[in-house]
Amino acid sequence: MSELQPIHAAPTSFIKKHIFSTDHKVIAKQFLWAGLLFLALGGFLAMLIRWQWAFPGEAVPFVGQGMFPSSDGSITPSGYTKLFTNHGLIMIFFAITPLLIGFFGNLLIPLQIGARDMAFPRLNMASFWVFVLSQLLVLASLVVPLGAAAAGWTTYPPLSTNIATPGLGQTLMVMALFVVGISTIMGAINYIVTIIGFRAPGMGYFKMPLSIWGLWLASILNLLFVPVLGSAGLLLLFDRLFDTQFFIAGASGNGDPILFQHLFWLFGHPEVYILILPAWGVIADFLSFFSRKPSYFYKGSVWALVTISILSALVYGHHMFVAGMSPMLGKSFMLLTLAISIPAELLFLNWLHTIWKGSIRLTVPMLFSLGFVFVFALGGLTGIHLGTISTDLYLHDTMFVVGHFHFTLAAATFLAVFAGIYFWFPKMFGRHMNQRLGKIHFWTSFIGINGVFTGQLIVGYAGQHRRLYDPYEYTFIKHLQPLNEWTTYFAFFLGVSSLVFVVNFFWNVFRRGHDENIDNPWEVGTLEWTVPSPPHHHNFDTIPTVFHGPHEYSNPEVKKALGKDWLAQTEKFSFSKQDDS
Amino acid sequence: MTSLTNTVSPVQAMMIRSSSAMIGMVAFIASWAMLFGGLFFAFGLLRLGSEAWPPVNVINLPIALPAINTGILLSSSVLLMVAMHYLRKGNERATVHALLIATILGIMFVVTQAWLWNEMSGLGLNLSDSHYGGLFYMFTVIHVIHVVVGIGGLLALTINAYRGRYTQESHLPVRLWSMYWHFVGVVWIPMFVLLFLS
Ligand code: HEM
Ligand SMILES: [Cu+2]
Repeated sequence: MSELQPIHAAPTSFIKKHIFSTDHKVIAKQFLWAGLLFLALGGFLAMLIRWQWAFPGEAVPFVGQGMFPSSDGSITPSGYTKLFTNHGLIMIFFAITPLLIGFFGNLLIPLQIGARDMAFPRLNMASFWVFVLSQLLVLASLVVPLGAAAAGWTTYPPLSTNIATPGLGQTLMVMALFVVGISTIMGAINYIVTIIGFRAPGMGYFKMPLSIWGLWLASILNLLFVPVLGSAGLLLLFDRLFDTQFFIAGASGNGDPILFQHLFWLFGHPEVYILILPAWGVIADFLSFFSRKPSYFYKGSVWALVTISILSALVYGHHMFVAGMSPMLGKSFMLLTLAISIPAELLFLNWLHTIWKGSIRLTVPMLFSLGFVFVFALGGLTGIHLGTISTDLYLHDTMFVVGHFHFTLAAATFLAVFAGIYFWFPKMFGRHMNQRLGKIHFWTSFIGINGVFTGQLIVGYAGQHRRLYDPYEYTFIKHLQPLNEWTTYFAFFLGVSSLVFVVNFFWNVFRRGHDENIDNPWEVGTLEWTVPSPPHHHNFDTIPTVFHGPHEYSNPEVKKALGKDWLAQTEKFSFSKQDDS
Repeated sequence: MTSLTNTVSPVQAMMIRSSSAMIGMVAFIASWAMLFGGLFFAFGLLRLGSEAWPPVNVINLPIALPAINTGILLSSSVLLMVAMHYLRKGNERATVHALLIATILGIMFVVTQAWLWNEMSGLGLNLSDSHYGGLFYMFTVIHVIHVVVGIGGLLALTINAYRGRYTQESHLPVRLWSMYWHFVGVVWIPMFVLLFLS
């Protein structure tokens, strides 16, 4: 007999343990730090953008003199363009992606399926260091001559070609996107194979936590669609570096700028689901855990996730309704887009059903999860206005779109990331976070988020276009200045409230000692809570055997026999009536 | 593949490990195919948007040399299958020879490609005058980068086979690199058709 997943001795040198580690738990923490750092950077840029919309042309307090010396501290038009470009790119690719995929994926996949590590631990380590390289490219792009990237996060040509952004910064940013794509694909291969091959005995696909389902589907989409962005990036780099004209039309070429939009959104729409799928999974699990009820219609949720993943590859055209698309094609894309709401609705109703009449425990992760449900509903509903051609003709490229995708992509993923951090913090660090500070962080963020993004929806509906340097140059939106100013105050409030988290997080990561009741403080049954906190280097002393699904709560038989309202996935228990969930 | 118990027979352990590696390779190839899928999509749109193909006043690409080169790449793939065949039979010497020839054919492909670039740029076909030239260089350069990586792999296989590292039962790297190398050949075919024949 031989061991399939042999136990290796834990490394002892500092470098092997904390820097070039192949341990998925360490890599997860590395992605967490790298992601949080860039989240702060992206958030800082957001504050500057908000300042500009509230007080266009006025000098920025504190940092203005240093950042915009040529204009005496006020944001210049070209500086403004760089701000929103880098805000978007940094948040999506270098903050949310590493947090949702790199951090959650690495932490959860082996622990929740009962494996000792990833299928390819060295590839896993490489994926993190390639990611660091991409972040360094981003940082370099911010400081090179002729300035940082400035073509918007969508990087549309001709803006992103040498004609409009001749600087090295734009080139470096496109390279950074290519490199972060390589890192993502390395991770995706690892996650997919690990989930297929390394599930513990008894861990059938329909016994996996929904978190794992979300991560798995997101990885498949990553694997297939990130390379499409790669192809667009390569063509763009050829245009920028070797003077081809694939995307340059008009006097200087006969290329096709719309081609880029096709490739970008062919990737870009799946990408938005790549980011929301892990969040959906994690939140769906939390709703069940803290309602002390089985996840309602678990299999239905799984099939909804699968259906949405497939459909997400077929709807990208809804970003291009006004790009000169044939009406026939436009209507097909509209139909497919609206068809997504059916499985999405099922998923949503399952969440509501799960919490309905549950014994809800309003823990910090649960508060964040409920907040997620709320903001995601708003995001999804506004999506329908954009997916319908007749309304999108008016709303396209307004702040309404910005509000829509901030509710779905920013607000929802932000809340999911923090729900996860609060939930798994004890598992990762062996200490509790302060729950009162956590609740303050939740309520302040929740108020801030809703204030900011509702403000965006309203001004967009009133006709304010996105990406305007000084919106009030247009008389028809001049009266929106006070509303925008209020929105900015909400944004600053949100920014300041993050400090509550920073204090709570740093203090508890670095303070000494090991807390009580740390192995399974939430009383849940998934596999990571059957091992000590933090887990041993090899996770499981013996590979566990799984008997139940991840959501066995409040079963009266269990309560009667064991006196508790939950059952670990590894606890053998014969129900009198065969359950087949 | 079923989920695993920790203690399994050595043969089972090897099978699970190798099937993980193979799934990983299939996933990698799928990803890579999508990269080329995006590029082919671009080719299609740019080609449809061009009035004449090849455009007037642009040097046309030859057919004969690329056709021969296609033959070279495909025979390299065939030689790799031959190597696999001998490996399964346990004929180590023949395996090493077949691998060596496959590697040399791979190198010949790159040399011929470089020669073609040199020739065409000498005749005045460049990246920036037309999509015809731009697409030719773009596709062939990206493809050759993958070929060069593959040659590195084949070289390592040849050396390891020479040292007797692979046996009838255990030769996972040969199988993985074979998948890689066959795919390099497979994506070349539509490229050859689109760039040189259409
Ligand atoms: C109910 C489902 C949804 C529908 C029907 C929908 C529909 C749309 C449409 C039609 C647009 C294009 C609007 C325009 O540019 O005129 C759009 C933009 C966008 N959506 Fe959604 N969406 C949905 C859910 C989501 C989700 C779940 C996410 C992310 C997690 C998301 C992220 C985005 C982003 C990032 C953009 C815009 C990017 C940009 O132009 O800069 N959407 N959505
Ligand atoms: Cu979309």
